[in-house]
Amino acid sequence: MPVGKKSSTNPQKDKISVTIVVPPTEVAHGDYLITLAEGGETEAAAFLEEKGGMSSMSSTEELSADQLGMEVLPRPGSGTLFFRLGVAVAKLDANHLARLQDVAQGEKSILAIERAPIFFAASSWDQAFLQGYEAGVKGLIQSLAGLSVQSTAIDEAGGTATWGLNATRVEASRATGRGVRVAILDTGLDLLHPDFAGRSIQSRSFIVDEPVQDGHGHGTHCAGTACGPRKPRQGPRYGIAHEAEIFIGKVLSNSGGSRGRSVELGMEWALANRCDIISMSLGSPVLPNQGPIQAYERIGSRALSAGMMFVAAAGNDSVRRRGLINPVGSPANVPSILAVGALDQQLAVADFSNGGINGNGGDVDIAGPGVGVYSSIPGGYGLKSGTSMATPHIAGLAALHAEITGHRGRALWEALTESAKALPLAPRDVGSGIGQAP
Amino acid sequence: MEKRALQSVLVTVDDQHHDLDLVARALEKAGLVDTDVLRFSGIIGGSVNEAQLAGLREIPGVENVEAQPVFHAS
Repeated sequence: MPVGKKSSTNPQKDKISVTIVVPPTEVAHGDYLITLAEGGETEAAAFLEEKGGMSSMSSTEELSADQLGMEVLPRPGSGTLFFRLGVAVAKLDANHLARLQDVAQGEKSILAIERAPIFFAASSWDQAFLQGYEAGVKGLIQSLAGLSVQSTAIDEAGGTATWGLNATRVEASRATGRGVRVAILDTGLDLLHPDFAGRSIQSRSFIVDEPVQDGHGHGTHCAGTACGPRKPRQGPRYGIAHEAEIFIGKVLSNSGGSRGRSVELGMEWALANRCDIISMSLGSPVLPNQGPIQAYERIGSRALSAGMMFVAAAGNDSVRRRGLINPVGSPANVPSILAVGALDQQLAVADFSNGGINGNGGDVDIAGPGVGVYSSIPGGYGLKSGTSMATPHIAGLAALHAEITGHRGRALWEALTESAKALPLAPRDVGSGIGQAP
Repeated sequence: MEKRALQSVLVTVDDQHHDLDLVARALEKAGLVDTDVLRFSGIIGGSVNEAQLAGLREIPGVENVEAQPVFHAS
């Protein structure tokens, strides 16, 4: 069965654009699985070559084990289209990926660009590469059988939890987030995702004409990290506060942006519902020396005084490899909202992660895993990178601390930052360090 | 009045000393339209003609009038 046929039962299908966002850093290099819209395969092929910068796309009418086994993609920018599967496998370097992500936004024939499970950066045909290839073939077979495709990063291959959960010591913690209310203000949630079945979920959309159902993917990914299950239906554990009460405020549209006062209304809704931790993987860029918006300081400080806490993404506007560090974005740049920076698998500052260069509360307060983060996406699982991914790690950890210590508001903020593991990095970039489970 | 581009604003109100609804009414009288009153936060959101922006700041109980940004998934 073509992959596209499976997703034709998904009412949000035509709203899904590009679900995987990996910033254009060196870690982007690898094999990618590009999901094509059903019926749009020819259009997608032309698009990938003409606008996507793909130098050579060979095609095959049919997938066979032989073809899969033989499929070697030697050069960045080359790839193979599997018309009947509705997917393309492409080798992309950072430049190709960045260009493709840029032009694929809004391109209806491309549904998703995901790191293929066969992306191991091995330089030779070693054991790890072959294992990765096996995982890739299994993923394609699962998709053929109508199951969701599971993207599995090298860190997750054979592991019981994601690298992010290991780095934050979640697996070793007995805390579950029980009795703690966690709000995710984002693009909504895939309410049909099996990993959220049976959970206490309250939701509301602040986007006119768009239901809570996540037609983007970002919100489902963030909610998965903060509150996903201890034992997912398949694959490694990726969720932290697996017994927390979930509040989903859809404040970003299916194209990923706020509309009108959707964000402020969502913040107010979360406060009115007495959510203990409110996670906001969203932002607006701020210029050097630009001051924070006082309205968000009011909202944040009122939350802390009432025993609640906002956690927000520091933003992805930096290109550190070129020496460019931009300031923490809004609303994370007010003193009363906890600003979260992103770390990679080596616990180095992520290339894109903003820094605390503006003062006036525009500091990075804490850091979390934010590169190659595996979590839930509508209909399955996928990898994303960004301070958006670091933020729900911290929100989930905060829920665990809230449960264990009973602290809320400012006391919870202190418990979280004081228990963070210090890193040999500038506090400007990582605050008190990487958040740790209690 | 000449029609100009409306600016989305967030008005922070000293709601410890001023009634939020009365401030909202005064803001509307001064040109704020499409208002939302955020009671927990003590914030009033709305849109205003740029020519009338300065007038909002003169209303008793108004602490700040700031442009509202557009946010994106980060």
